[in-house]
Amino acid sequence: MTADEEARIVRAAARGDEAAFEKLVLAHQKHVYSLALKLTGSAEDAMDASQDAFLKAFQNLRSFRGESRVSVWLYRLTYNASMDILKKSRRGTLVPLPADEEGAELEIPDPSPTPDEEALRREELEEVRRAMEELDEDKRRILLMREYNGMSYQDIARALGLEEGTVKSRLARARAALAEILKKRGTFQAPPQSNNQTNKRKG
Amino acid sequence: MSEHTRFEDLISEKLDGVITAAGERELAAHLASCQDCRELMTILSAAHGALDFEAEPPEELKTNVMEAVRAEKNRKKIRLRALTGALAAAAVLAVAILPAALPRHDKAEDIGVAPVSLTRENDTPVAEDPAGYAGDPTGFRLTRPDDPDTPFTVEEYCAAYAAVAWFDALPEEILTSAPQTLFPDGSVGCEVTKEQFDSLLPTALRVTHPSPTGAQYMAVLAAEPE
Repeated sequence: MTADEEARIVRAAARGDEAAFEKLVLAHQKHVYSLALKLTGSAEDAMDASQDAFLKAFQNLRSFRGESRVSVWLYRLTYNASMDILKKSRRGTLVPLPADEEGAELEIPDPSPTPDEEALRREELEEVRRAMEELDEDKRRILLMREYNGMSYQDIARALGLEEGTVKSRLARARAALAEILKKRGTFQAPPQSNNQTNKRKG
Repeated sequence: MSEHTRFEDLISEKLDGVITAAGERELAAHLASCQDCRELMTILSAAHGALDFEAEPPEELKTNVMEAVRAEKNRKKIRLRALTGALAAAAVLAVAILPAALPRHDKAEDIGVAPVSLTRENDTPVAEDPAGYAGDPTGFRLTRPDDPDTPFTVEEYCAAYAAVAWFDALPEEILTSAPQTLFPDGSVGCEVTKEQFDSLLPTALRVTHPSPTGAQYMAVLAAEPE
């Protein structure tokens, strides 16, 4: 969908055209749901957050000025909805929970991985999610945009009002800070010649 | 730029797939000799990998969203329909309750005030609304169709909004028995006696205060209908 097409669809949806809004949902639902899933770590919460984000989008279509792409706008709505849900369920805390208790909620729909691989992936995602919560706001925001939302340097630069070069170096600093936290927590550390996967599982 | 920062940058560029061939060579050479940077690379690649997936949303997502959207649209429609009568009458009642002593069967022209009407205009930014009432929870905006440029006083706003609340609160028997009148501005009003008026709307009468405050006005809106 080009930016022009998208702008037309948004205008139609803002006038109450349900079919137009449905097009927007179809075009962005994977993106929105994936982001919510990464942020909340739970399929159920991701579903709720995605619905909330889309409904908010519908209610506020008239105020969407088209300065940024719809995807970026939806990113913000999804992020806020996910944070609200985490706050409500009080899961947005830094208290580590046993992996099998929390991880059990996450269902990443992907036909290929074996149950073991999937369990590992859930666990890894949860580790990253918790480490992200320890980052300061600026670092977390830029990493969310890039790593969770897959935004280009250009889009991030526009969203944050920065030069692309600055985005690049801030991302590098944020990643280094994240790595520091993960290292302290003993996550993803693989001493040479040892089984990587065993070490990824935190005791 | 410190050496450490330089390699953090290169690792970050590599993860994003934007590293140059020269950068790649430089990084590889460095990693071979630096345990810290190897570790950084390992951790960040794993974290990057953990987030590198797109999940197919469940089928119900779109269905649920569209259901919620329809419900949202219907909610608005129902509210507008329910208030259609009130809106028209409010135009008249709004001005009719301004004078403290209310003569029976007052009509807009009787008290020499131009007809006013209320329209739904939820989207009006408060900044464009000189009296600052457009963003209020009733979602209505006061306009004077015959004289759009004359601004409204706070009293007129208060009275008009209270009139909406009042008309909304009228019991069915009054609505069916009281004469309905077509007023010059095309609105339909319900004429009631002073006695009925007083008994029905103790809350709205409060706004006949010469200059009601915003808080008083909100209290009227929040008051439970009799």
